[in-house]
Amino acid sequence: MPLLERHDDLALVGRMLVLTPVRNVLRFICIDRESNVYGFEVRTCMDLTFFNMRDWPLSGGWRLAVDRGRWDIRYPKSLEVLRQMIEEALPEMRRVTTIDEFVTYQTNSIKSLYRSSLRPDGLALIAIANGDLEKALSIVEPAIASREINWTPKYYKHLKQGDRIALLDLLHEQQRRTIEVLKLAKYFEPEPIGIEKG
Amino acid sequence: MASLLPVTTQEDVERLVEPILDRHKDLMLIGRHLVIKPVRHVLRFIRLGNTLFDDLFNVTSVIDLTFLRYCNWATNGGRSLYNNGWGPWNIFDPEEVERLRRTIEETLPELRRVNTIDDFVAYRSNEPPPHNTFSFDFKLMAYIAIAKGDLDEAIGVVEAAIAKGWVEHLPKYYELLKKHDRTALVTFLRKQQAGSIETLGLTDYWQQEPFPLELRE
Repeated sequence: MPLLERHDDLALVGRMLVLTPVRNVLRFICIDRESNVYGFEVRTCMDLTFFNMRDWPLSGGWRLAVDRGRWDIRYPKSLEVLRQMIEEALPEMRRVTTIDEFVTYQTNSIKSLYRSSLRPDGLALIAIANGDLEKALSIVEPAIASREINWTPKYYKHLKQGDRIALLDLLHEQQRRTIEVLKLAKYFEPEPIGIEKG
Repeated sequence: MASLLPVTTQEDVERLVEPILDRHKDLMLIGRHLVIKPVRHVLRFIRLGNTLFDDLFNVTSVIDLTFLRYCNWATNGGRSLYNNGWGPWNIFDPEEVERLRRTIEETLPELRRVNTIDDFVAYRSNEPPPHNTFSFDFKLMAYIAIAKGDLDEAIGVVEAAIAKGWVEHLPKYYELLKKHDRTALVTFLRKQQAGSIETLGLTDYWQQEPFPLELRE
């Protein structure tokens, strides 16, 4: 794709077009095949690398689609349109580089209500990452009470104890695993999380 | 899964439509699409064969608008021409082929009658369930309102869709719409239309016509 030549911050990892460097925020464009061999779907995705994930998180972005038809490799003219749409999406994605920017973006985005990354579990992890354990607890406890979180999050025990070191280890561990599973080591640049500073 | 019938090839489709093309000079075949000329704001065609499983030969008549953005042929709002009221066609059975040709030719007059955006709205508005999804397609509704110059109505359609959580990302024309920038909206629709016509390979059959948006100041 000529896109890789024009934008040197883009890397192709499998079917994912990743914005590099990858730090706490992971931004990529997913180009996925459909049941029709010629057809595919494209969407932008944004998430935080220290979330617990085992596969590419396809949320936090929007679908790149036109009004009629599916993307099809047999229609060269439409691929030009797609490249243009991707290039138009990049600046918006590039602006989201920190945890705070990610939160602001997701909160202000039109479909913010439906973002999985900002459900209580995600919000609590963000509060932990920012070192605000009080806030994290105030998010987790009601969510557990209302059974919106119907499991015991791994961080819950450490959070109750206010064990910052254990929490930091946990976030680093989750981040490390994300980078490993998604094969992003080449593009990953570790970045301090708020909790390390305070 | 083994298919019950041989997969239909482009040659099979060409053989099927040959006598129809002879009898109706306003038709042409583009791939598996029997298109009625001229193509203006309204695109009318009959899709021969399903996209995914080409061994099931489904036939659909479609009327759509060329100023939407296309990346491929689509059968949104299409009406199926069923074999005996249901199911796909076997185009290797001479009797069925004759019946299919007749069915296609009987459908042509109703497609030919739809020439303007208003005709299109009227055609799509009176569909029986479960095909009465026309007014739920907020993108289509917004485009029609813009093309007709009803900008406030278009804003209302988009804002209602945003409020309902149907919009993932703001449409490109939204800023222009908010500013009531008619000239820029015309340019936008024209550009989108030209791109779609080119994508679908219809350049030689397309006749440009003004948008009602341009005529109403």
